[in-house]
Amino acid sequence: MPGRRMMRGPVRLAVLWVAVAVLAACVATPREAVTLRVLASSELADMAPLLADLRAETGVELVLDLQGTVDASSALTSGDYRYDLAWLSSDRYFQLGLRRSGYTGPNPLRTTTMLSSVAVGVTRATAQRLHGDGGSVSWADLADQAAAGELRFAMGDSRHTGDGLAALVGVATAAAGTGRALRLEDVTCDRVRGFLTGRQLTADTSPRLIDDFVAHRGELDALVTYESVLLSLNDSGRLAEPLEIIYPADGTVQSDYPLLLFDPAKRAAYDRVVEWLRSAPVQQRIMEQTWRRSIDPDVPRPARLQVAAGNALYFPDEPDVIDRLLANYDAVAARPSAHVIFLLDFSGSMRGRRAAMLRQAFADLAGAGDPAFVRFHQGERFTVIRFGGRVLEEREFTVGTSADLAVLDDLVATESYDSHTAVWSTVDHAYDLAATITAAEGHPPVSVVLITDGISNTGLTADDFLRSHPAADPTVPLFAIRLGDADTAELTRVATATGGRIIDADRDSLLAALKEIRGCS
Amino acid sequence: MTSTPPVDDANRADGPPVEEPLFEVQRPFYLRRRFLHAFIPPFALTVVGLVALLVSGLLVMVEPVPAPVVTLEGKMGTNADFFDDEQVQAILLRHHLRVHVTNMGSIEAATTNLDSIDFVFPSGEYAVKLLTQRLADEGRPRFTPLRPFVSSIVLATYRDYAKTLEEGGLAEPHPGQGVDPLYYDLDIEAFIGLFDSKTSWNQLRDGRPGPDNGNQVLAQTTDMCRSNGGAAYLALAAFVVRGAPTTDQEVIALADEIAPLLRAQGEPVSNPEIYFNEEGRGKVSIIILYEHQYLAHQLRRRLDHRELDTDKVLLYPDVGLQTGPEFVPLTLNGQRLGELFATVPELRERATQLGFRVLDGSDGELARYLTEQGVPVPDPDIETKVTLPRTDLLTKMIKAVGECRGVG
Repeated sequence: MPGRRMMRGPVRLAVLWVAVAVLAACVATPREAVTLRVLASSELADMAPLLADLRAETGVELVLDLQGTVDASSALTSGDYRYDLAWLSSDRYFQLGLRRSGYTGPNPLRTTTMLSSVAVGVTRATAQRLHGDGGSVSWADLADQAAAGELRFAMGDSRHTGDGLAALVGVATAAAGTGRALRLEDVTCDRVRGFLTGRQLTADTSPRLIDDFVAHRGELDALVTYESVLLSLNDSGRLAEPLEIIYPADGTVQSDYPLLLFDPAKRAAYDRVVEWLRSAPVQQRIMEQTWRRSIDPDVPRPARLQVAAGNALYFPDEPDVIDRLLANYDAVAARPSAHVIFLLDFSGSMRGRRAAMLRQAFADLAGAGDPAFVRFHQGERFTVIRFGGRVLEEREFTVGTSADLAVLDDLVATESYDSHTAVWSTVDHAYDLAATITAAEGHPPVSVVLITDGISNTGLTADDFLRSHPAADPTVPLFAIRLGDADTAELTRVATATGGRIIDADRDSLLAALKEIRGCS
Repeated sequence: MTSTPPVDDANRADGPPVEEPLFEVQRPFYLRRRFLHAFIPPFALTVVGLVALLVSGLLVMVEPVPAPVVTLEGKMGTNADFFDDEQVQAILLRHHLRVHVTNMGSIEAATTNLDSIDFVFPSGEYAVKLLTQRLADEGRPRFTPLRPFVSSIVLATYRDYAKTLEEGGLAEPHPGQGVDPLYYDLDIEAFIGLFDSKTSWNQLRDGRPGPDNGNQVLAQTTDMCRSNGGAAYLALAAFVVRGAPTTDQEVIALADEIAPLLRAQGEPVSNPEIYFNEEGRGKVSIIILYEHQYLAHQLRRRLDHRELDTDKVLLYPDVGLQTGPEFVPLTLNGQRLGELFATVPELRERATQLGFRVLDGSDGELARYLTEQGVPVPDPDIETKVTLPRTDLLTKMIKAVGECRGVG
């Protein structure tokens, strides 16, 4: 016992001396150890191995709190910065949040660290189908296939993840087709609904999305996320067959992974981190280990990163636009699409040119034309009524197979016309039908679309209709598409009373008008 | 301790004669094995520790610091390129100065906190005026500002885009450049007209080979609320559309008229240097830059013994806008740094090598250097020069068009 005690003293002494020596060495080096708390995008979990080296080489330890980028941005926007830094795939949502909040203070210091664009990874079979005509693939192609039930994909939740929101903005911008950043008036939910029909799986964070995708890969055709995440997944050995990466030709959204400084007192450590991350050897390793692209033009790209990631898509800078987009996104998720009752005037005057227009418009909606954002999508329900002096034919459709759409084709192709036009009796009938539909399970919203070229000459008058539907049910708007000689004043009066409106249409605009009113309200 | 005498093999082996044991027992404590067992390890470590201390101390001492190096804090936009340059840093270090840069938009630099900042180096007149006004308002001591060099506002793009503009009759290569011209003159009025007619690149291309891009033809910029480059393009576009406004009413009307052109890009570009990357096309098709940024890129290629980057080309608007960065000292140390620009020729030489047009009367220095390095010399045909509106009017216009929050 006493002997052991004797040995302890020297050990203690030795430890003390070592401590003194280490302390001395620490004081002598300028690189003191610092720990920084960082709010980071969830996909940056893959930086962990590099961060160990960062710590070893600079003395700065980054402790990442991982969240979906949109969630992280909202947490920062609240102004209560509990973090020293933020490291986000993009600070665009954060900037939008500052705009929304009316914040007038200085911006946090930002430094771009690496790059990746949101792309679409597809199975080989899907790639072959999409590239069928040999051309490039657009968001329009993807939306078209999704609406037709031929593209089932996984995508991050746009309310929580940066890639999910970027993809939603991408689809909506491409659908608006203005070639500029989305404005409020460009955001209509019918344009994203078709695309979102194909979204079979979603998640709040990137790692979760990948795990779920891998677990359900047999039921899915595609995965929408960052190029870097797709390439890493291909490398991981978790997929039997790698995904082919598609950069939609109508534009992609690039992320530049800024490191943002929130606590100015941590500037020296921030500078060390930034200098290390941006150095050529580290940029090289970032590319090799995470497949994010270097911000340094002189660092050679591995072969798989030598492909161009497509054109940029202008990203909106108005918070209202994003809010409306997300509101539509919620509406699509929460509610069934509107059940539209189409009332097609089959009186004699429609014969010929006007009937041909009608058929063309319906063929396009059924997906016969060029790939489009607006077409009947899987599960969508609608009713078509042909009328003359009375209801000639009435049919309800639920889009499932191409056979269903063939029946629709036959219906509008009918060459049998009536000599009378009972506009308001037919509208009255449609409103009775609407009441039945609205009362059904899920209370789907209903709208009535009347396409006519004539003046009502039999049955109820407009006033009769308005009397029997006092202040007509405001939840069922009537949209009157006027062709040729129809009575503008009367149509306007009734449409307005129902919360709908009148739209003049000619050959080019009939389809546009139909697209416009097949909204999500 | 007293009841347990030190155990020693020699002691035990020897008999107990009267004198000798005394000698044995009284062997100096520092030679006793037990003491040595206990003492040597910590002692060795102590020596190691002391040596480590000495060496690290010596290392600090042998650093070449005959006079103390003063670190200056500077805030600036694109001029950070100058102080980030290793050769500039080496020159400054020889004069015992080190510069720590905070890089942000020039307007931001001029309008945010200046505590413990030694100098601000905004990229152009507008931000300089904002800063000068602010310093006067705050009653700060005045030091001598300096305009060491100038640069021009240019539209940087990629070859196929420039070609499409050329085929559309909007751009024309500077004379004498051969098959792959790097510099074009741009009919800026017609260019802005393309935006007004909502023309996309695909429409302008009209089936000819070129970029497959459905975006409207426009120039992207950094945030006009924060950076001089964005604000300068606003001033240029306004001047082209109506001439410089002189009254509040004109500002409002003009802001309404040109807001769509400036805002159609949506979010402004926060990392303009991305243009020089292969990935640049994934972010911008045309971006507003300073001429020196482009020339520095080409010069860097040549100094690395590489070919010129012929995929990247410049469009010089025929309504020209030169920007004069101004070095504004806020402290004596800042002033000292400013004086080096005037007294150290190496600094001016290096500025030239970084693509700046140095203002010291030696016109043509940049052209000479470019030629020497095998970089073609731009020869823009500028018809008119932009007149900037009064600072307060430009501020109003920026705020109206950019819907700026806070600064600016």
